[in-house]
Amino acid sequence: MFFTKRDFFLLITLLLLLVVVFLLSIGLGAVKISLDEMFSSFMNFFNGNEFTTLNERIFIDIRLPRSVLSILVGATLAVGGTLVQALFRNPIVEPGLIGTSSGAAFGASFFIVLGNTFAFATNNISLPLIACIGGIIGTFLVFSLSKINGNNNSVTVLLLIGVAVNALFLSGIGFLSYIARDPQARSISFWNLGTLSGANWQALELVAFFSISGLILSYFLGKKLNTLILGADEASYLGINVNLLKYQVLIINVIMVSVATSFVGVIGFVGLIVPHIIRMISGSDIRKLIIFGSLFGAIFLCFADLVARLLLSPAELPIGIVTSFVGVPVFIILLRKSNYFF
Amino acid sequence: MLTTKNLSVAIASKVILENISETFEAGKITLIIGPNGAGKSTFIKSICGQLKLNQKGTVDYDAEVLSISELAKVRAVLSQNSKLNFPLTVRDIVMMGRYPHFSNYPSEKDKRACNEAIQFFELENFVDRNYLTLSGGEMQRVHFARVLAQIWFSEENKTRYLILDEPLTFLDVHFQYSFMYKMQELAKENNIVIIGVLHDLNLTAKFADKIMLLSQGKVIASGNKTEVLTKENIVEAFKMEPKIHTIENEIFIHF
Repeated sequence: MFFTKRDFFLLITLLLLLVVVFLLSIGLGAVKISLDEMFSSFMNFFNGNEFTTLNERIFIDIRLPRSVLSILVGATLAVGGTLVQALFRNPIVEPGLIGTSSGAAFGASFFIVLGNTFAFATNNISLPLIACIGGIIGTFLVFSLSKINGNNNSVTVLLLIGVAVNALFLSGIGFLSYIARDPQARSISFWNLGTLSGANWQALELVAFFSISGLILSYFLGKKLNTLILGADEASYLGINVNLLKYQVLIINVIMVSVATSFVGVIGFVGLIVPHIIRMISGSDIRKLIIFGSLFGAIFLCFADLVARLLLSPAELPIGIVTSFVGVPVFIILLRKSNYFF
Repeated sequence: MLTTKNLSVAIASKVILENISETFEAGKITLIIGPNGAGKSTFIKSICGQLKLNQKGTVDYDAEVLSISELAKVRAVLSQNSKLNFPLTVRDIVMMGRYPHFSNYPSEKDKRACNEAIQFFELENFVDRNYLTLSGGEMQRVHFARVLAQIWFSEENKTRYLILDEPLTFLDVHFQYSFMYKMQELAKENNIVIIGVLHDLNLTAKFADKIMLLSQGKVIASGNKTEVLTKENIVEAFKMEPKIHTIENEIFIHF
């Protein structure tokens, strides 16, 4: 991989932006937290002292995990999009199209509405766990149904099956909202539009583990994935075991994205637009897309969460609304302006 | 040397290739001709190991069993159509040909192979262009450069293989001939096994050291041009009466 001057410039810009957005994100919100308070909050936390002010508690228990979570989830979704686009050699694919998100959403809705009825032993991670299982089942369904005669070659078939399976899950979610009581229906719709308000350190540990290991593993598959751009046959002529690679990428992707989605709900569009924007700037090398895409996805989601918290403060918007509202126009403008085409 | 023994391919119980036993020698160009649906591309895929589940018989590369990653260092394949959906520069694509030879960063040798292959196909002015903005013929040349970069240097003097499925599609007359002359040069100088599928009988007659005529999954004839390009064989394969002229040892065919 060649890092050009432009790439170094991009890397530094993205890192700086990430730091700025992160600082804004932990500072601003329903209450403002000053740098002094952040510092004293840290000191108390590490020295095991009691927090002296409410702001210090808010900072450590709410603000910080939430911002870090937004960064991890943003990076995960962006790289998830990069991986499935590479896998299917198709620029319009994102995790939402292959059943991962809708499966997770169905799992979550199911738990929200019927969880008490079935009297699951519930704790903090029951909802994410069921959402994660839903995501894995959704992806598995799309994949096994699109295998015809043992071949899973046609992207068109896969996308159509994806659309069908998504519709199925959506109608399931619709049914669940229909039979739900009002607050449950509200939780469902909030979850389906995504929210980072559930962030806590426990969630963060899990997401961090799966996201970071997923990101690292994907990076090491990057060179092999590049050859898939040429086609599956060409990749195998270049010495790649294509079937093995497909399963590796799929498993990494579905676990990483399902875990992230399970804590924050469905956040559309990040996985689609971030890889495209990075491609416009630094080309299609998957390894660059993974590095720059994870940084840019992190910035994008952290910023979107900040907007979601500030716009109607002290109430907050579902983040999915913000990502689409900000992302769609930017994406369309960029696509029309650039000489990036397929 | 590449050898097939009793190679048969059947897909969904339809027989596409039947009992093909041929040898392909190093330093020689073997060209495969035949009507549409004769099984030419299937034969190419089969010797490239894409149809292992559907085939019977054996395909041997110099009687060695090579793993797919070892094979990629000595064998390059040009497929019929490599469609890309993502923008890449010409240099990036040619460099992919060197992927089997390095793990993370290309060595000086890889860069040299890449540059020389680019020069070989007169692509110097295109190196930083987006592949998707090129014309069909230019795209084809980029893939030539890529597959050639892959086997540019011989690895421990092992035999190298270049397998080409309809390489001349999209090329104008100039590049059709210059490509074939280059293949001739390569085969002679570097001891490479070159196997290609062609449609043009005159180009085949001019450049093939050996011709394999396929029809309905069977080899109708194989050997040198005077053995294969006879009136009877051509009528049997293409169902058309040819006029064959021999001028100074060269064969010209028209219909």
